[in-house]
Amino acid sequence: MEVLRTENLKKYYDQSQIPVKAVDGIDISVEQGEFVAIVGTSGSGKSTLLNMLGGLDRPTEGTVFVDGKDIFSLKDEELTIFRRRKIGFVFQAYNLVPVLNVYENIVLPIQLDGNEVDKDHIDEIISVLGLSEKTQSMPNQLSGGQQQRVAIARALATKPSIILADEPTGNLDSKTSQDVLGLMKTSCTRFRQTLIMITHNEEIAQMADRIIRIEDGRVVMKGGALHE
Amino acid sequence: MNSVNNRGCINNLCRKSMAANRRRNIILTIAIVLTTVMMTTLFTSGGSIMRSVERNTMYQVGTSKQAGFKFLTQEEYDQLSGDPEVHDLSYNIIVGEILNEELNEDYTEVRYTTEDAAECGFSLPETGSLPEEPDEIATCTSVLDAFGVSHEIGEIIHLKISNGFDEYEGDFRLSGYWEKPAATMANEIYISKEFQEGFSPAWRNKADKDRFIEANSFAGSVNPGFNFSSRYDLSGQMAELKDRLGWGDEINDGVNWAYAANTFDPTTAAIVLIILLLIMASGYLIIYNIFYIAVSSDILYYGLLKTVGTTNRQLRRIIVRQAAMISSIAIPVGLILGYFVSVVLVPYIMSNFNAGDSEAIADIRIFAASAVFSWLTVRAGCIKPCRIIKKISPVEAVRYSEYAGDKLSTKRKTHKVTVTSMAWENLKRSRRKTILVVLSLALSVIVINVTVSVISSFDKNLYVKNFAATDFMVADGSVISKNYQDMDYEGVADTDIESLSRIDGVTDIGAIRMSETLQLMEGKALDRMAKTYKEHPDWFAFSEDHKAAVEHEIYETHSIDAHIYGMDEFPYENMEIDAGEIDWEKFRTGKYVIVSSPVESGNGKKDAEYAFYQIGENAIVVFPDGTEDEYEVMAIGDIPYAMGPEHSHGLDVYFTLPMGEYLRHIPESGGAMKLFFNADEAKLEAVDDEVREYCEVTKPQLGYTSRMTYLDDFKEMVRMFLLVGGALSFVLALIGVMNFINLTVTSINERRTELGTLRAIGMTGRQMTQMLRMEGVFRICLTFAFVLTAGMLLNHILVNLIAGQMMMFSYKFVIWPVLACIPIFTAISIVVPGMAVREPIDMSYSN
Repeated sequence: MEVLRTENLKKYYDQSQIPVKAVDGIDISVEQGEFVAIVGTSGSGKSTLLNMLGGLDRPTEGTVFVDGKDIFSLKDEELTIFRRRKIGFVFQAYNLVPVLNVYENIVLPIQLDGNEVDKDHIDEIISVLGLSEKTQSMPNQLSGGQQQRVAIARALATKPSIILADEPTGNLDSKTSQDVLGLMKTSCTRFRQTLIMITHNEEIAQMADRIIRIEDGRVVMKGGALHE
Repeated sequence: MNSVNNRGCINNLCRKSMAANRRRNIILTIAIVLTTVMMTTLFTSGGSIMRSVERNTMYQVGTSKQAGFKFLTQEEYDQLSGDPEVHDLSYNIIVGEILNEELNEDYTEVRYTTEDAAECGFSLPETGSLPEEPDEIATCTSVLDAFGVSHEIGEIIHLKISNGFDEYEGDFRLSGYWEKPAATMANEIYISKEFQEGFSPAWRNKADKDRFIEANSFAGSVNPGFNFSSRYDLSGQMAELKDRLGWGDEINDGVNWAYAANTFDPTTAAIVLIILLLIMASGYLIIYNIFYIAVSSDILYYGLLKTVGTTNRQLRRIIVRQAAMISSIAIPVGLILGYFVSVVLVPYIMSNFNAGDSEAIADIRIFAASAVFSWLTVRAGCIKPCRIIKKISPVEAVRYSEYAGDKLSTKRKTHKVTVTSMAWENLKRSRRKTILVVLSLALSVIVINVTVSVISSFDKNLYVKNFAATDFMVADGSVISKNYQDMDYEGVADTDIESLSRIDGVTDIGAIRMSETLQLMEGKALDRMAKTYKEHPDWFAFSEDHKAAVEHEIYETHSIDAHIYGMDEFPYENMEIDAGEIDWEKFRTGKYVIVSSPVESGNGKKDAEYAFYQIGENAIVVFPDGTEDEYEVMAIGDIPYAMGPEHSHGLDVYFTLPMGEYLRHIPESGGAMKLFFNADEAKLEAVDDEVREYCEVTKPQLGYTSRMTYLDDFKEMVRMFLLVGGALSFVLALIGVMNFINLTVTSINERRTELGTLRAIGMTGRQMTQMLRMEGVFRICLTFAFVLTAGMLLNHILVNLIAGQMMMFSYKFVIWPVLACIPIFTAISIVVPGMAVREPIDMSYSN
């Protein structure tokens, strides 16, 4: 079942006379439960693409369908609410809220929605991610790997159907990277979630079901070519 | 040690840093401009008041020279002119006394003067010039008026001059004239050097001097005036000078008390000091905060500079240089604006100081002082931020930036996260910045409240009572305008009293009549007078000249100036009694008199002890026609100053008799000196209209004052306080709000990534704005929590410091201005974050 699809997605920036084509007509489709890696050199437009997939940024042209819904037909506020229910984000820089402790950071998206926390679900995520000892700690007391695990927990907390991760292991050493990726894969399988991840690490990309390669804002290779 | 020239590099960094922080620079510039504007306005106003009071005192003294001698011989003058510490020496020579009857009432001196002496004596002709020909004179317009000649060069005046031995009578031609300052007592007639040398040659030596003093004349005496090198401790310098010259007490010296006198009364001084501290505090708070925020948000940058080897000294220079660069524009702009504000404000303030000049002064020293204080404020604001840079290690700097500075706990209990709770946590994160903003805002609210408290504590009835015991007072125009030269003390005729008493709404009415006489002092009264003079000569003699006259009266003629008052019952009730009981029924029989005491310290019994006539004794009162009558002294006391002729002779005595008795002895009395009456409160305005009509149309030579006049004065003063306090609190509030805006905007900018993340993980724009607004609202809550506790205490202290000494002060607790500020500031705290996030938080920032 298709969970995400883009149609002729374009993002142009015209900062100077010459417009910069960050994303230049991308059509992709992702199935539910799939693990997709988006790879490309820096400046190839992968982060811009991911931002648009999550509705963080509006495209110049084209649109994104999540669960068959055109997300850019939504107003800003509706889009935000849609996003916090459907999509989880994991960033390279973790981006935890410094004034909240680990547990509060994880449940923040739920509480922003005004919903009661599904305690069992959260406890499960916390234990899967190995954060049980750290729930009361403040972010500045955690190591990079721990912070990224909190960020992942936060992305999983609302049981989103899609997780978008932008180089989640970019700041981590290779051992920790493996651990974190393993955990992400495990939890996605477990909670039946779709994972779309940006990386420029071929090794990590190999772990994905499918690799989409982007250059100059266009898809140059699609589908599980590597698996063939 | 090698000295490396790295100044260029630091300057470059500094310029880059400036260019990168345009908004901060604008806020900083405005803050410094406002601080300087307030500083300049304060100093200019203060300086203008001081100069005006000083000027007025100089007019009274008669010269702007710092010191002078009187009655020197030419020998002594030559000796003086050789002294190295004596500067700007100039002199005049007394030529004689005027015998013309036209000048009987006005004390007029004839002198030869040098141009400089005339200029310093405020008597340099404004039209024409000083006399050069022996038949020329220059004089002030008061003298011309006394002779009834027009103000024109070339007018002929016939003078009779005596030098103690000879008299000269002849016509003089007017070569120049000037307007005498109101505060100057004596009139001057200046005559040419040639005439002076012919008629009253300067005393050559002691023998000349003694001869003239013997004849009670000072004609021929040289009167020099001069300056010392410094205006401080003139008495000390004078004493040293006399020592050097070997002169003793026989030489009459004087220092100008315009320089010595404390030209600032304690209330004014307190107000100026408080305002100065407030301005500095407010300036400090915002400049500190701006740099603190700048430093903490750029800490990574400073850490980096440190890593690459920039020293603390150099980093400090980056900050201080930026402050200096901005100040070099902001302070001059502030000085200019401040001067213009003063030009508008000073006349308002001065109208409450009863001083001559009311223009703002433009004095380089005032600008220098304002600039220095502004720079000190700016520099003080840099101290703490520089210290932070100094303390931070390059490694820490990285962390510092990530977690925005202030301490966070390592562990915390889990709470339900709401927009409000997040706002509160964020506030705790920027604790110091918040405190600075809170204090900055609180300051302005407190000043607003103090202003309103001071004004509310002014009791208009207390104020009016000080000037007028009754609702209305009618007198001859000359009495009202205090034209001492030509006062008619019998201006209110019986027909006037009759007409005015018939005005509808007039309730109580009564008059005071007055005659000026010479009282012959005898027996005990004479002894008491001599004794009191011996103990307190300064009570009676204004100057050395006057002293001679007073002693002449006490020891030779035994007759002193006296006023005899005739009182109706209504004004009688306002008598200020120092000792004894007064009883109208007894008093009206005409057997009793109330006698004044020579001292009025407000000390009642103590003052009464000095009275020349004591209670129970008989006083023989001499009437103007020379007749006498004997009365028993009923009490020691006087009519209030404002009800009397408002002048005194230094050494004099006032007798108060009931009206019947007064008229029995002075039946030729042409009218009352002053007529007093009250009016029905409800008809006050109508009565005021009718009285004005009467005094302007029916009998225009009459003048009047009403309680309404003083109420207007009172309103004028309230307006001044409102203006000054309002302007001050407005600027302080502006600075406070700017501080608030700067903190709000920078804290949003600093947290772009964090806020972007929050948006990405699902915080709606509404929730974000709400959270940022809550932060502002919490800051305002803290502000008012501070104002309502410590602030109210401060309010109480400040109000008492500022107005506690004033006569119309009765403390009233006021809090509504604070409460009124709450919605305004809350509104600002809601609007500002909304505007700051109008440029939407870019969610892709989170990447």
